[in-house]
Amino acid sequence: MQESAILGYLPILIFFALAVAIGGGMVVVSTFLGRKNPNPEKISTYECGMVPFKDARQRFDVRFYLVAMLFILFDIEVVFLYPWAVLFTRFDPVIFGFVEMLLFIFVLLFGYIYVLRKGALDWS
Amino acid sequence: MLNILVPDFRVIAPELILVGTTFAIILWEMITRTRRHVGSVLLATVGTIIALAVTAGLSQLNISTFGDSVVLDPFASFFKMIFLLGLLLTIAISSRYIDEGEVREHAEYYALLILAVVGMMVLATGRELVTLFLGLELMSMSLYILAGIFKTDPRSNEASMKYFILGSFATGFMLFGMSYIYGMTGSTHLRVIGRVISENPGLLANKGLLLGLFMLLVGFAFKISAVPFHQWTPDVYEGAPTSVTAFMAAGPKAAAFAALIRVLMEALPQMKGDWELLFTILAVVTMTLANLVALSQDSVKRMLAYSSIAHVGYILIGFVASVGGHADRAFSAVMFYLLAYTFMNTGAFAILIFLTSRGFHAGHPWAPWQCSFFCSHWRGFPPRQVSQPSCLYSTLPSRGSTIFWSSSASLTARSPRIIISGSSSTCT
Repeated sequence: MQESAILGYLPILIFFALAVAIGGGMVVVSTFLGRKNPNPEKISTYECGMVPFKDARQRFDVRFYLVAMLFILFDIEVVFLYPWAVLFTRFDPVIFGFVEMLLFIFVLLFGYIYVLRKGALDWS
Repeated sequence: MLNILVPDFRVIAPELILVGTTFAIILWEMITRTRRHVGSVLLATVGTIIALAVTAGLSQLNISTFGDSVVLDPFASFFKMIFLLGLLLTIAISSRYIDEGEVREHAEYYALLILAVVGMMVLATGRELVTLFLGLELMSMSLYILAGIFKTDPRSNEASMKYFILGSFATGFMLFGMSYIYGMTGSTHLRVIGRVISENPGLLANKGLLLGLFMLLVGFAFKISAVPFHQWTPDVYEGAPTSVTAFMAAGPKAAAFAALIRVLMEALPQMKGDWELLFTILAVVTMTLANLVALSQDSVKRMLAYSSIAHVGYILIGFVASVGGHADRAFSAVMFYLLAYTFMNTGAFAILIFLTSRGFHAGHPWAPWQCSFFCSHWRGFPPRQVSQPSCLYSTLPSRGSTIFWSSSASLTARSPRIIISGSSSTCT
């Protein structure tokens, strides 16, 4: 009982190892193969946006946060599609599950149009 | 593996109507791009009335769906109607006030009011801790934004910020308590929690469960602004637009009370002994302190804020009284009190809005009378004499000392109120 409960987590361990291997592999491979042509702008922590290290007592541009927040919002919502897709065949009338997800996407789309209309994505 | 069946949508029909209304309001504003409020007000009013009619039509049902996490019973229907009536009154007093306040985001204002009510309805219908939490967050998030809807007024911003930070903190406490209750009982469904506790009486001696109850009550006490957790109330009520204050003082409190009653009665009735003591202390401290501090306020909005805190104290007596074996009578008194309170309180704030724009002197002979009428509920004038003493004090003999000293504290705490409302009437 105890062993099988722990064995159930094995896929997570494999996932972890794969994530480390792919992420680390990219860094290692680009270190050896990539062309290096540095300039001050390029080696800064982020190539665009605010300077991350200086006095914190100043006004921050709200636009960065707005874009980041909207990104996270729409990004996280997509996560709900995965459990829905896995369980899709178990909706009793399958059409119910389909319509439900259509409604969900509609709400997302509505939010997106609202953001566009309000000019939250205009960068000027 | 169970199949996912179509849930009974009647349970959440008014909520769906209200969500549809918010979509319609925002869509209307997006298409017309108008500065005029008429469209938003009209859509909001129509949606609310339809939702009210549907709620009234379904009020005799007693069904639950979504895996017993949402329930529609007469208790929930009653609270839904309180929220919808409060919403209607708020829309009625908002339109001119918000217009004069130069709020350009009128569609958002009405949409957020309605979404807050959807959150309250989820609180009144939820029968599962995570669902309740979801409703609480929907309600609170909308209120955080509404408190700061006067974007150019620094005090409105301050109110919004203060409410947001303190509210998030209280939410953290509540989640902490929920996680302990879940950890001790293995379920988030209120009725399953209640069954597990009654089947394992040993749990009652468990400090983890007690901690869970305590933290949960801290979160609720913040939302209803009972005294040790009330400090945000005067500042937020004063800074927020008056129409939003009127809304905040009635509906959200009633919603938190509804969720609290359901959690206590369905999940934790076995812990009566523990929460009776906590509520006794909360009620006595709240009534006494709120009324005394109200005496020394020089802002009407702050005084009304302390008045609403004092009302919470009176309502909490109902929770103490419910332990005596007449829980249904005690809680029906609480429900009636909340209904009357919604009307009287919104009325008081409506008069306040009227007076701040026009004043007593401008030839409106009825304004002082109306003011006195709405203030008279501090003295317990029309409804309280009916509801509180007859229903709550009738349980007095069955419970010994605790109910007696909390109710006698309520009587003594009320006397400064009488002086204040008396003097406010003479001032006019």
